[in-house]
Amino acid sequence: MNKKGDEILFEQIIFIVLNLVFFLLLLAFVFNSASGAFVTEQFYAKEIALLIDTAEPGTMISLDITDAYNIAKNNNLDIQNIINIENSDVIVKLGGSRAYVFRFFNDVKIEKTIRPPSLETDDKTFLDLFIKEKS
Amino acid sequence: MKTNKVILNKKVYLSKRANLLSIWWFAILALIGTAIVIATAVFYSSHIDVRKAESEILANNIAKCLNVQIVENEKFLDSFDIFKECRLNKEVFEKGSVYFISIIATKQTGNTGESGPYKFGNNALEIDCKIKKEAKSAEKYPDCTQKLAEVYTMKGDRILLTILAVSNNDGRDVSGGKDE
Repeated sequence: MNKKGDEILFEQIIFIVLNLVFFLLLLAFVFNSASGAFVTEQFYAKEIALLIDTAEPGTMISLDITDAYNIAKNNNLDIQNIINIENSDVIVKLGGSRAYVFRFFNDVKIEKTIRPPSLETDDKTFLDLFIKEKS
Repeated sequence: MKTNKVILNKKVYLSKRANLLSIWWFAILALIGTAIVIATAVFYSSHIDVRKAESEILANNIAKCLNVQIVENEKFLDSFDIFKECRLNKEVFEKGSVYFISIIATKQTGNTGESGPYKFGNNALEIDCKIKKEAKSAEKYPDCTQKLAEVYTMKGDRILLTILAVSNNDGRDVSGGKDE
């Protein structure tokens, strides 16, 4: 048998496998970062706070939060607790141990409902905010 | 003869070929990997800055509210509680606040004169605002919106309102949060 030829073939196979593994790892890292919770938490917290700041009492806001729902579902979080509004703070928690908090200045009372995906919502998740006058 | 040449070339190839798994190859992989990891991390940890939008909303809310109070209710800042009438959360404007409002009212008809400035929130942000205006690059400084609004009272007086709204609200990352 050609021992030198076998060595070259083996080396080339190792080379291709190592390259594949390297680029797959890089792809996995990029996709993982792209679907990460941090940017989505920040995005929704700020969007909700700005919507509340512009809203007048009596306003009903429905926001599509399907992206946030999908991330929370992957992290096994309770869907009803991914977005909370407490003491002028919007708290969005989609990851494991941390949450993103953003403050709003409009002094209103807010009633929050999260509608999970269903036929009625066209398989989307919605956050409903009912802005009321503070009593 | 030809066969001998081929064998010779093969021998030369086998002896002089470049080593595929060389240190240089691993160095190139490390370089590409590091560049992609840094670029991705920078892109996806990017900060969403809404301070300008927030200062504009605050200035608009104040302008709308003052218009109603001055025109419809014939009240001005020294005779009404801006937090209550303009639906602003007083706690948010207290010590260590990330917001600031300044209002100057200039009467332009009859007995002309200026009242104010009426200031609410964190006064330090007003100075930061001036610094940002003069500086070429001051990303960490708050965003400011100045709004001029002309209001006509029932008596026919024309009042020019100069409203400065400042926001340095950047949000925060907290460990914990509510419920798992």
